[in-house]
Parts: sequence; C-alpha cells; structure tokens
Amino acid sequence: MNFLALKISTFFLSIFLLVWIFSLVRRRLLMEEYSFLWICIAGVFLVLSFFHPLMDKVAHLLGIEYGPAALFLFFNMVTLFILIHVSIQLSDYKAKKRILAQEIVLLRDKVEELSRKMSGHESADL
Amino acid sequence: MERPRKATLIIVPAFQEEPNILRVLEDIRTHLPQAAVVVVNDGSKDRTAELARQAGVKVINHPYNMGIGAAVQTGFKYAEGHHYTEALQIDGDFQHPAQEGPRLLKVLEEEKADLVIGSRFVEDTDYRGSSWRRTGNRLFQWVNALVVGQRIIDNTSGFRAYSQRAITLLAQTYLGEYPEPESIGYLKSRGCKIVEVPVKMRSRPGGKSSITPWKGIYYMVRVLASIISFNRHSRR
Repeated sequence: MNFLALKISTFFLSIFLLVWIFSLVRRRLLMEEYSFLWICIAGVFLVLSFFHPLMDKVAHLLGIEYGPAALFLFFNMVTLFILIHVSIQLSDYKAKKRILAQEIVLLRDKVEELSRKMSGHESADL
Repeated sequence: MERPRKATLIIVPAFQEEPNILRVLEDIRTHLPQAAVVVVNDGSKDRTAELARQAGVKVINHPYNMGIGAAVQTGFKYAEGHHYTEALQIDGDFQHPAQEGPRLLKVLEEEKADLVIGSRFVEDTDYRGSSWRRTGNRLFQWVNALVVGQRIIDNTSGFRAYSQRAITLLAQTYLGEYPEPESIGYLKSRGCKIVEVPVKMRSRPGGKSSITPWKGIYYMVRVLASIISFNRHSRR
C-alpha cells in the first residue's frame, strides 16, 4: 500500500499548523505558554509524516493493523485531552471572574455609602 | 464598625422577580421588622432592583447574571463585611413565608446550630412539588446521607438561617450554581451543626419556575457532580 497521499497531506497540515501557531504568537493573539502544546503536536505530526515506519511500528505496538488509523486515534486522544484542559481553565477563569465581580459590587456599594456620608457632611457644613 | 451583639441580615437573592419582589419585601417587613435586608439582584433585566430600592432596602446589583450560588455568596460576603451575626435567606420568588423566619432564627440560637433549613418535607405540609422533583429530592437525600452522614430531608430548600460561622465559611467558598445541596455537605465537613425545621411554603404565585423536567434531569446530574466535590472541600 502506498500512503504517499496521506504523507503529503499530513506533512502540509503540520507545516500549516506550525506557521499558523507562530504567526498567532507573533501577533500576540496566542500567549506563548499555550503555543508550546500546539507546537509539540504539530512537531509530532511532522515527524510521523516523514517517518512512515515509525507510525506503523507505533500502530503495531497498539495492535492496530492499519497505520493511519493509529494516527487518527492519536489525534483524537490529543484533541480530547486539550478539550478537557480548556474546560479546566474555563472553570478556573469563571471562578475568578465571579470573585472579581463580587468584589466590584461590594466595593461599589462601599463607595456609594461613603460618598453619601460625605455629601451629607458637606451639606451640614454649608 | 462595631455591631450590637446580635444582628440579623435577611439575604434576598432575586433574578427577574418584578412581579414578586415587593410582596416579598412587604412580607419581610411585617414579620421581621428589626432585621436589615439586602436584595442581591443577580443581573435582572426587569425592574427588580428599582422596585427594591424604592421600597427602601439595600440593593446590590450584579453586573450580569451569575446564578443563585453567586447571589447568595455575595449576600454572605456583604454580611461578613458588615459583621452580621446571623443571616436568613429568603428567595425573591415569594415561596418562602417570612412569618416562619423568626422560628428558624430561634432554632438557630436555641440549638446553637450553624444552618437551619426550612424544610418542605419534614412533616406533611400542603406543599406538593411535581413528582420528578420529589424523586430528585429522594435521590439527594440518599446521596447526602451517604456522603454527609446525616439524613437531610429537604436538600434543595433555600429558606435557611445561617450562623456567623456558616456565613464566614460560605462567603469564602465557591459553591456552584446549585448551592443548597452542596453547602450542606460543605458545612457538615467543617463540623457545622445542621437542623431541619418543617415549614409551610407557598407555591409559586407569579412568574414561573425556571425548572422543567428536562432541566430537572440536567439539574440532578450537575448537583450530583457538585456533591462529589464534598471530598475536595473536606480535604482542604
């Protein structure tokens, strides 16, 4: 079997991913701490697309007969983990955002209270 | 700011309660005239906040809808910041009868409890939730009894009195969107005393409950997930 088409498409996909990530980081649309993961993934794709026997070996170890299927499995697992990771961060941001919002409303209440007191004093002075 | 030895704050979480908020505040004024009241307006788009302010009570406005858990927590933070010694939660939907409030507070003091739950199911009252709701409650009872080690009959009731200790604990802890069942396990894990008192609740008069059967299933799965987090709380 010839996996040339798959090799070429995987190769271009990984190159595209790498270029895209770098440009996102360069334009400061993606913080570099998050880019690391994506660069690693693109790197793995690149390596696998070049070294076809490696992919077959990995597939064989996992008991998968068809090499490219291992690639898809790998990609699916990675996607799943990234999604869970993003959910964790989203939860964290939501919790922090809530704390900030509560601080703000309670501070606003204090400010209003204080300015009411102060304006009361002023009118008493006049 | 020093408070007198005993000071009670009524926390009224309210989201889109324009048809009910005035009745709720009137009810509180009639039966709990000495208590301070704070309405936590959880990002309502209607006139809830305006009406409450006109009624002469303190209103804290969330900038956007953050959910009931955040609303009551803001109330606890306010109570903590102003050194209130006890709090009573009365939801803004007019289901909780304020006339039962003094009884909850009395039990809180007499039994030295940290949480007193006004329960719909302790005795046979007129209240009849829909059948799925009762089933859901039974599930919570079972899970909470298992995790908490105390049989709580009405885990979802938001009609509650809190001690100063409970106020401090709940002001600092992130509880999710369904704070009622979750807070029971949390407070229990911190060695708080929980007491249930039977109350008669009204059924919802104006507006409609946000809970439908499908949402009920969603609710149960999420609450069960939040109950699992008890372990996290107790480890801390």
